[in-house]
Amino acid sequence: MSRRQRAAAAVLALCAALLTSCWDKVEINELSLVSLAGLDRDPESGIYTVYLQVINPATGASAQGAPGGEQSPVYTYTASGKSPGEAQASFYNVLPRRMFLHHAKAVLISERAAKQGMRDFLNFSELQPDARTSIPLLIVDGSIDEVMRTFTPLERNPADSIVSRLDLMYDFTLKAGRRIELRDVIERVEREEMVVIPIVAATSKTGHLNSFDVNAEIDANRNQLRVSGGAVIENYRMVGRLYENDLIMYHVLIGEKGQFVRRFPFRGGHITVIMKTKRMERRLDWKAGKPVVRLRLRLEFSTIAMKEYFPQTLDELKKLEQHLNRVFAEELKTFVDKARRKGWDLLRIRSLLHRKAPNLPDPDQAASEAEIKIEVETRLRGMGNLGRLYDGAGGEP
Amino acid sequence: MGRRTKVRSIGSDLAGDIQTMLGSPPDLVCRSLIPDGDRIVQCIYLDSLVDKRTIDEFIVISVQQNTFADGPAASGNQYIQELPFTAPYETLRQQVLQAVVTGKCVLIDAARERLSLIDTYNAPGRQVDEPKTEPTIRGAYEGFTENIRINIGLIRKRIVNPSLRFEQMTIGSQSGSTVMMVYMENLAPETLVREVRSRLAAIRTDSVLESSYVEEYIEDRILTPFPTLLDTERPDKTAAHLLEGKVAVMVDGTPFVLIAPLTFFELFSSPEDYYQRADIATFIRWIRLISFFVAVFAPSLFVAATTFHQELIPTELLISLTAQREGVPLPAFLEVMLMEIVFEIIREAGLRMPRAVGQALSIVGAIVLGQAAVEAGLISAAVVIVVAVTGITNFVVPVYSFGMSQRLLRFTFILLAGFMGLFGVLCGALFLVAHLVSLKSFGVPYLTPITPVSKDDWRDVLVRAPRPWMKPNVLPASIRRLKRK
Repeated sequence: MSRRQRAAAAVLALCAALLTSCWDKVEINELSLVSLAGLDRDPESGIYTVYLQVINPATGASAQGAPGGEQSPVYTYTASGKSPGEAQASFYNVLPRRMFLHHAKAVLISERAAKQGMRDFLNFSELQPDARTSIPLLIVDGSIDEVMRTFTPLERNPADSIVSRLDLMYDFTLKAGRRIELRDVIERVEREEMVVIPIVAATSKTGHLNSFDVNAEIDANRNQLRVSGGAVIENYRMVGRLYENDLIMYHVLIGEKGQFVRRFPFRGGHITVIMKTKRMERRLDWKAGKPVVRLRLRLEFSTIAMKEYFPQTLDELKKLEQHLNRVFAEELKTFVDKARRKGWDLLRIRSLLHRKAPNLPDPDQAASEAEIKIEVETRLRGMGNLGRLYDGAGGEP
Repeated sequence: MGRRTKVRSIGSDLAGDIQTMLGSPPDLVCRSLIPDGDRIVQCIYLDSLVDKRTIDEFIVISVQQNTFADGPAASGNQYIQELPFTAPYETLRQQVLQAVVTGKCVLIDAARERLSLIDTYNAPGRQVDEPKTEPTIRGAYEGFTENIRINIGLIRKRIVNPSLRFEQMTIGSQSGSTVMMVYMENLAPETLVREVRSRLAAIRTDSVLESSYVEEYIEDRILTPFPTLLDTERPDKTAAHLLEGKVAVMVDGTPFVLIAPLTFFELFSSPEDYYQRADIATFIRWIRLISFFVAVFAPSLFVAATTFHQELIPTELLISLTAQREGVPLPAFLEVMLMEIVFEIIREAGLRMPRAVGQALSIVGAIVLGQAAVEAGLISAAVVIVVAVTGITNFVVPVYSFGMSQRLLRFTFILLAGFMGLFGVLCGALFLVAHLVSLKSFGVPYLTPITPVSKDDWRDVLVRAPRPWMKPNVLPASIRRLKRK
């Protein structure tokens, strides 16, 4: 290569670097950081409304001047269109910075949209190169417009507040599951499983409030969001809902591992037990040509919340464990029967049959006819500080 | 008769000629000593270069008392040299001139036809002091000085072994600088010694004022940011390397000694590693490695992540960074580039300024440029932090010249990140690795012992194994490699 050619190559390489590649750079303060996305579809007009909750960086802890206070931590932008794409495109009528979805923490879908079916929205979401599918999907009970315009105290960003609550609910109450992210929902529905995803709603409000008002109010149960209950999704469509007690049973039965509190009948009264799921095994047997699904659950429990009774001897403890095994198995069975009566295959029996017996002529029929046997094995693992309970007269009747 | 005339002319004219040829400098001393009634011995020297005590107490007294050695000086005596009086006048004059400028005392005894050159060199200079660029907490506080004789002594003091060799040569047609090659004859590979010797002999230059002059001539590759010769002003480090079979090159007039060959991972070890516990030394070595990566890559990764790959930054951090950048007029790339350049300017100014002013400058640099620029909204606080962290980590590396190369590399990577994001940084890193693999120092691959692999030496690369775990009397892989050749 001659010297002139070398120089030309160097100039070309420099041009390639200087003239082209830096054009796709974006400064971080040219981005609108979307933390929460919401979707609604009017069943009558078919108009999609997309909500984007964008973080206001000026309220960040390191912002110049006094942070927080006067400014809203998030801004909610709304756009409508005949399709999610069209709605998204009209965001720039109101949004001054480039939409940046990579940092979204959760996606909300209104109940009415979920009941019509979420397939189109999930497809649209999966098509976006910059959208994350590893974020939880929630259904909005009531007006999504109101939920998207509600502040949360303590955790100022509503998306952070929701996600943080989901984690805590999983760890300490088992009222939320782990596999509720967009991709999980898609995967599970594609496997023809039923999915239960959390429901969020706005609590009662004391008027039109700004961020400052919400954070200045001592009653934190009002004027904010509540995550409670679960929406049952079948084939991308919401078909019903589970309330909190049923949600715990559902999560226990599908093998989620977490801690929960439950009150059981005991010797004419009740006892409150803190339980933790340890292991769940499913086995498929056949009895007279019909499938029998055996669920074997191992749980640990502690007496920390058991203010009503305290076993003093090994024998008493054995009896308590046996009692819990029997009562909880019965409760689970009741829940399963109730769900099956509604035609909900929450235990994913159909998918189990599909996997273990792929040649069944009518898997739906087989699944609905399958017998379900639940065995529970509990074991004491934790105790409170007392060796025996105080037995004075001033207790509950 | 004619011979006598010539002798007389040497005796009377030489002193005058020398004075004329040197331009009658103020430090030239021509003394006439009279040992006998009619015998005059001329004594010529430059009093700025000689040890006056030796001249006054030994030479002058012995000449005047007529006890100066009568016979010719023993051959090989470097301190007293006799020149033949019968040689042509021009030759003698040139030799005497050379002797005077190299700090010798010239005695011309015309009556006895003797011309003696006595080595009385003692140029003014610093005494042994703490090394300025490589201070340590534990270990010797002695550093090399500008005087090569003292430096030789500092090495000899540490290696009491007859195999220690010093080969002297003069390089620089004008400066005539003394360059010394030092090695252990029993340890250094013959090929290495021969190579260093031949590279030194091939130097054609008019002056050598510092060892970097020599370094540029003898290094394997000129166009590389990495040093392929180790420079140190620590005698203990030099001794340690000599005992590993390496060759040192000393230049008179500088405390910096060159050591060859050098491998990349030796740049991360300091003599202090061997003076403290192995676990602490290993930890500190890792800190140095991490610092190297931070010093080279931190600003470029910051630029790439904030302008091209915001999705990589954790949300909370991104919000915090965005908040800081609100209202900042410059793009992140220019912001980082500008601050890095300003930092380099402050550093350079701090080096040149008198010490008292230098402190004031660093305060101005820190407060005015850091705090005020952030408060004025010109620069975001994160950039100041990144630049400061980079600046600090740059000083962690124990070899000063390697710190300089990191500065160059950092700017290259910032440019790549500014134009091409992480893709650019990755491309740059691949080029860097390819370059490092292709580098050699006196025939030794630069990345020895990682590649080519020499597992035995790994005990002293990423970790510093306790001494009993290391094999005794084993030379490093780089030297073993040369010995095999």
